Amino acid sequence: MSAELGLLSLLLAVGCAILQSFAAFRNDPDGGALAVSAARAQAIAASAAFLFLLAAFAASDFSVSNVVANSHSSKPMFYKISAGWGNHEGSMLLWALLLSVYGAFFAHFQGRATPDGRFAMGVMGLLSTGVLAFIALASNPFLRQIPAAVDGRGLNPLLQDPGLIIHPPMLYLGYVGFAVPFAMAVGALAKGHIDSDWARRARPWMLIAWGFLTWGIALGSWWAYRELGWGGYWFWDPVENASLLPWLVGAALVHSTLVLERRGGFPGWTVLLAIITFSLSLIGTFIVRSGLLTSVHAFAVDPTRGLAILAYLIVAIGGAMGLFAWRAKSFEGDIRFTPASREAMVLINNLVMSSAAAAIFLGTLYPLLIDALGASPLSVGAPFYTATAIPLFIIGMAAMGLAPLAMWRKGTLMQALGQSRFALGIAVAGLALTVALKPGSIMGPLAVGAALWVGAGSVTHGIQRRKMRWTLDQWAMVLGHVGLAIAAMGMAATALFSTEVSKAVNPGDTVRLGTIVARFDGISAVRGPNFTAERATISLLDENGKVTRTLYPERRFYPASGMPTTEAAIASNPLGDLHVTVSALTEKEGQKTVIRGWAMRLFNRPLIGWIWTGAALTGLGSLIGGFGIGWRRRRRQNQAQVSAPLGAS
Amino acid sequence: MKVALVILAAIILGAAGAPERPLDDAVLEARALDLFKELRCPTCVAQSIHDSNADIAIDLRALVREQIAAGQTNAQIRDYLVLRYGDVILLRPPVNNATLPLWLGPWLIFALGGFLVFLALRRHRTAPD
Repeated sequence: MSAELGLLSLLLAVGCAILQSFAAFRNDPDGGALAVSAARAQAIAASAAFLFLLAAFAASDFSVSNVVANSHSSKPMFYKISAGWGNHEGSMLLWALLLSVYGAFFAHFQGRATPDGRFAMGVMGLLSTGVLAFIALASNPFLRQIPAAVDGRGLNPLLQDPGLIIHPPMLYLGYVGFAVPFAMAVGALAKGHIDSDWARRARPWMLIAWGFLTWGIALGSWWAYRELGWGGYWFWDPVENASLLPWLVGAALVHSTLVLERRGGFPGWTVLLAIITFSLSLIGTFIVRSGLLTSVHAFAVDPTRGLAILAYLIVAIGGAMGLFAWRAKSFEGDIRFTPASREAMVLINNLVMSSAAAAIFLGTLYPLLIDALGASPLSVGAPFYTATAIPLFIIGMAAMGLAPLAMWRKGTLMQALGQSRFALGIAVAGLALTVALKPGSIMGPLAVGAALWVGAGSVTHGIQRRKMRWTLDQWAMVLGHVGLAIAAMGMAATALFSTEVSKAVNPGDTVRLGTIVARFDGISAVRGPNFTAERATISLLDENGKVTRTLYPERRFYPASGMPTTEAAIASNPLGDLHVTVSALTEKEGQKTVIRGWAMRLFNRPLIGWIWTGAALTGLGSLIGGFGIGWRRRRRQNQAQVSAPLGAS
Repeated sequence: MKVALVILAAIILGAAGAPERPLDDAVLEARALDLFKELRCPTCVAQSIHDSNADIAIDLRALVREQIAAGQTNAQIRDYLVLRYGDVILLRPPVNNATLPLWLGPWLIFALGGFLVFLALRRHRTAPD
């Protein structure tokens, strides 16, 4: 029953979305009110559709094809429910649901206030109409199958991890959040007017989306670190790159909007960035979801779906870009500033973020291009990005350390550097120390220097303002920048100073890695809720041979999917992680495979936890800024409304 | 019973994991580890054979170690693997006519953007005060 109710809710949501657009684009004075109601109703209907889908998963309703394909009766309840959004159709529905919810909040808070806001409500309605209709027609998660299956076909055991349960919703909160500034940008273009008030209204939405996107990406990386292979945290694979693109351009957007808000500068560029950021979010979700990035041929497997997605992208992105080309000429912000002012630093940020995004875009699409041209296939992997994106980031961080100490509008480079002499000293010392510890490397020491430069620059800014009341913007900036510095430090240290050893061991043997001594105590068989596993016991010893900690790396086998997975054991502390895996050494003896012993791999990854700690702080800063500024603005408006009649009487 | 379980487990485990023995010489092993990071695991999306524990990655690690132990240079090993798998095995695309746009593109974009920023700085310029 819940599948039919779900489909009904979905169709209802489509109706509401159409009504919302229609009401918003009409010019009668009360059109706004109807659009707001339709936006609210749409969010409720979309939420209901999603809940009905989750109900089908919770009940293991194996007459619903999507449940059969993605769930299994042996799974713990938590993972049964989360399987609802761990698949193509379900995640599309989640995406549409979040779009509806953002649309309803936008309509409620800002939709009726200005003509461009009303137009933006209409754009949000159109975006929703397209996605919801696509789900209902070409990607229906509520399809029944007759006869019902006896049991489900499981879910990739790698996905059975709490990190991956919250990763997609978080990522989507980011992707979809950029729909609001996109719609607002289209609204401004359509009405032919933009000013700093537009920036003031739009910036909280951008900060909220960017904060969630930061968290979403960090969660995905944390999951990869613990579940995939042996301790890599970022693989530069197409799916990861697709999430990085809106993050980079979104970072540029957040900063250029600040200049529009404070000084009225860069309006055309800001609107363009808003359009590009959401376009990249769309490309990220849909192209990845359609499988195009892993192989051009996946697109052809289901041509209806592929063409529908393509049509949606062309209308949304092409429409906005066309409007921009037509109208943006009138968006001129004639402001004056020096080449070492805050505005100039923002321009450098924008240059670096856009170039890095372009490099990653090129690297991600190049193999497809080569493939389409019929040339011999090639891979573009980590070494390419280390040689292009990383130097760009270091250039960007050079400006980033200076930015908080640079003044709006005025100032010279010498003044800004004079303010940052403390940061400069620390950065140079860090760089020199790293070169001494690791002679011959270039990028690593530069990254350490850049991280210290940014961190110390933010701290200097904080010390200078310690007697003042901090604005939410300041909190957002300091947390955001310090978080990024911490994350960059973690990445640099991990890249420079990671060590590893792998060795064949018998029970009782010890392996040494630097100051770490690990003893292999043997293997035992264990049984989990839906898997069996071989669990190794590893004791970490101190210099006196006393056991300080025991670790249990596993190799799991999930009968439902037939897939083995390696579960590393990780001992974390603030200075780094020790990552341990164990595998069997085997030999063929006639027909039989005989175990000749075991191999233990130890990885020491200094400061790796700083990467996610820093990213968490950066996301937090952005969210504090977004929610805080939005809430304060709202309160001020309410106060203004209350006091206005009093003032009149 | 427990022993039987361990043996059963070991057989499952053994079937999935091929032998993997690090090189005894620490310098050669370090060279092997660095080379692993540049070679793509053919069955993975983007992982290197260093970061993957797919069967083929394990086999390739063994192969690279063998060749290093046999005195082959990194370039010789790369060439051999390219012969066997094609350029797709290299995570760092070779620089040639087909990849020139890839390698130069990011820097051309950065240079063009830098020029635009320079123009913007000049256009918006004011006297420092």
